[in-house]
Amino acid sequence: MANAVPQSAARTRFAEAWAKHKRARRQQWLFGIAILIVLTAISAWLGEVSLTLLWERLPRFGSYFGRMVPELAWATLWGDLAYWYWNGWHWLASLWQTVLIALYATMFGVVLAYVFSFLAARNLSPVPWVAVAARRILEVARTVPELVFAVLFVFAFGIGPLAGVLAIGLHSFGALGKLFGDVAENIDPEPLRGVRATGASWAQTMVYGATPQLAPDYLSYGLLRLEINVRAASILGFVGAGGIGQDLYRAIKNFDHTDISAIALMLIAAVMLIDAICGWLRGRVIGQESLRAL
Amino acid sequence: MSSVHRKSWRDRYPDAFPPRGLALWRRAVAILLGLGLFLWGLHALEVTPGRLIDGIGQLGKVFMLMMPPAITEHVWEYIGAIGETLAMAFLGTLVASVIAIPLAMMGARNIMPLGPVRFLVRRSSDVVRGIDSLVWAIFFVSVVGLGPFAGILAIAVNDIGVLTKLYAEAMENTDREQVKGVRATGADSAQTIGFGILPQVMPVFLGNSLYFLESNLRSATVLGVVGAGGIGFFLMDRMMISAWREVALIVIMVLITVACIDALSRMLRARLIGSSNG
Amino acid sequence: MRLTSPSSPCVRQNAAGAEPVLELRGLTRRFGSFTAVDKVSLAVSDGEMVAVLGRSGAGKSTLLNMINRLVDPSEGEILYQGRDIAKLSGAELLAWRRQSAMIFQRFNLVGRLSVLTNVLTGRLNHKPRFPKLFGFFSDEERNLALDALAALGMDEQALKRADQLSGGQQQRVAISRALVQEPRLILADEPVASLDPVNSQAVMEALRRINREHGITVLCNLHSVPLARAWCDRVIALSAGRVVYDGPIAGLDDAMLLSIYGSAAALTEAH
Repeated sequence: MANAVPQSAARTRFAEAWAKHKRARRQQWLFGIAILIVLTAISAWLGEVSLTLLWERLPRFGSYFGRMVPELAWATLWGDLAYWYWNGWHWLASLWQTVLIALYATMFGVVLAYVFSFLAARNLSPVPWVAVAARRILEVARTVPELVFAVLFVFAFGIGPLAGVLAIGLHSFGALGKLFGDVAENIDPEPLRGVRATGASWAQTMVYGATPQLAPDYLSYGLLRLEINVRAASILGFVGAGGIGQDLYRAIKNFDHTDISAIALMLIAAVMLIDAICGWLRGRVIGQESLRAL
Repeated sequence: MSSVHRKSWRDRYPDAFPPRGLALWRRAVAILLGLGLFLWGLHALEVTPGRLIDGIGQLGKVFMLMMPPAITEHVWEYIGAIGETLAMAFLGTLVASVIAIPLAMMGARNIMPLGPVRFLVRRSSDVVRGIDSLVWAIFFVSVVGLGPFAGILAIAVNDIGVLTKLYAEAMENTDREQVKGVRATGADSAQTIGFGILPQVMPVFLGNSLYFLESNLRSATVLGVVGAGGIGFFLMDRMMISAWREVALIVIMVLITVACIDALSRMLRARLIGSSNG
Repeated sequence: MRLTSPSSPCVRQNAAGAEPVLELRGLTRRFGSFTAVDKVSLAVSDGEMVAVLGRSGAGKSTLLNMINRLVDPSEGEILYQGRDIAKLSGAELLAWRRQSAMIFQRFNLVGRLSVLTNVLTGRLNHKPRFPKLFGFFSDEERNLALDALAALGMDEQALKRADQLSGGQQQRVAISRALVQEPRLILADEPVASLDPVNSQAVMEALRRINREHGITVLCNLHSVPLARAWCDRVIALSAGRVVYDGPIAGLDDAMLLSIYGSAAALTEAH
């Protein structure tokens, strides 16, 4: 194929530039990988990583799981299950409380984040510095771990699910507020201008011009947050903020291994159920956007 | 316009107007029912206005006690613990990102033809995801002992669960046309995956991993509570002894660290998007 | 349906020599070092239908946006019946925006809302304002909205989602929205640039009808000279942000058009 097509000067220039570009790209990649290796080494040292230790302790995995497995025999199946789930009804109630905590916390977070997102979005907020301040507030809310908020709120509001709802709600407000703000910054500005030009106030413009565009994404993120919050709510009981965490913590502390597996199984089942429901709802929310008028 | 004309709008387009009569009653009942359920739930959660007001008062007191944050001699310990936390988050994310890729391939419909294998992979990842990393941390502490190693494993395992599902879905959603294009050149399965699917999902992988780094840093800050390393131990300990000014210091240090990592992550992600388009 | 506010008389023809109701004095808008609108001064009488012509980038949109205060002027005055619009703020500014309804090239409707709700947004600045945040409009206002839709032949689409309509239909909904604002002035920024000839005709005809029947002053940015000739009485031509022609449509000869559009090629595009 050599010289089947005459090489013009432009083509040689292009070929050289391309080769240089590829070299630069490759250098960048190699540099990045080198940094990665260095960071990994440092982290492994700081993190006291010891693969030999892991290898040694592998059997402990087995024994730990082994102790958690209850004694189930075909002949005495019902009796064995009843024994395994001796406290089943109480655990179910705790689980229900956990879900309730997650539900209310998510609602609380979604509503607050919805309102706040208009302040945090640079294209929507009434005054520019408000957006900066709003983003900072959201950052604090979503960086402080829920557990830390929970301890604080147990101190202030007392032991019980209220502290849990507020802790997860506040953290969700932070996480959702950021996501909502990002979505809001990417909406189509034309409907907004259309509404604004009628003399609508800022709030009215947000409700009629922005919210219809944002609703499906907001709801979708909210449902996703519900899934995450159920998991978070399951451990808040460790610090007295309600839910099944308390039962789980007690079982761990008392080395009641079969209790741990019983509770863990219920928890996983609940989480999977909620995930499925939320996933279905999210599908409908996104699907609906092509159907009805608001 | 005469009132006769007016009435006819309501007759012609009843849905353009708010409900009346029976429909109105139905809507009112539905709203009341919803409100009732909401209040019943609040009651089940032991939420009363009294508790809320008292609690907010208490919170106010605590905030006063937090000011100003105290820079005690402990600050070096805290810095070390934060370094540990960063290491935990970094390694946990790295390990999970790498291991999740082959696992995801085994769970993706367009790469793994064997149904049972896919099912096993997806269900296991569901189980692993369903358990909070804190619980995993407790488990790993009993396996490898106290310290950040347990934390790394906890983060890694939890993330593997999450990332496997995420990556598998991303792979299943890759643009079919691009894959067909690669197949049409005569590529075999491995090459199709390498040139058809991977290039599309690589930016997503890397971007996601960076996002998870941010998220893992946040969750790594609590693992210390159960002895799995990191700043969590100090945070919880100081809260328990009501050393609020030091708590404020630790929180501020964590906020600064997280803000730096977030900024770094954002920068890298922007460059990734640039290079994926280049 | 009464669509004019009580204070403006129903003037029917090109009222040359009558008291100007909208006056621009030295209106200027700069974006950094670029001057989009350069000391524009003009006067419009009540009930006129004025075309604003010029190449793209000549400052037509910026001019109209300043009158409605979607954009603030850098310098100059905008006087409506003696009041300087450029200095308004707060509730008075919102009231002015209600009175100077805008029609946009890309309709600027809210796609996911129904046609009826889109038209109702024209009533947002009318009392009572608070319930409207939650979607509560009075029956009276809903009837008004449906009347406006019917006047534009769109009442049957009232419950459809706005983004399911064609371009011409959407623009007519936008005009209905403008109508229910009970405006004194309609500012149309390239209302038919995105429409085919048949729909362009329908929309321009609707604007003309509103101008004639209700005496509402119309300022219309147009990209096409024949359209200006067909529908408007008076033309203001802009070039590089300055007014280069201001007078009856008949006075636009080819030499003038060439200077407005700069080149023969641009001129043929405008036909």
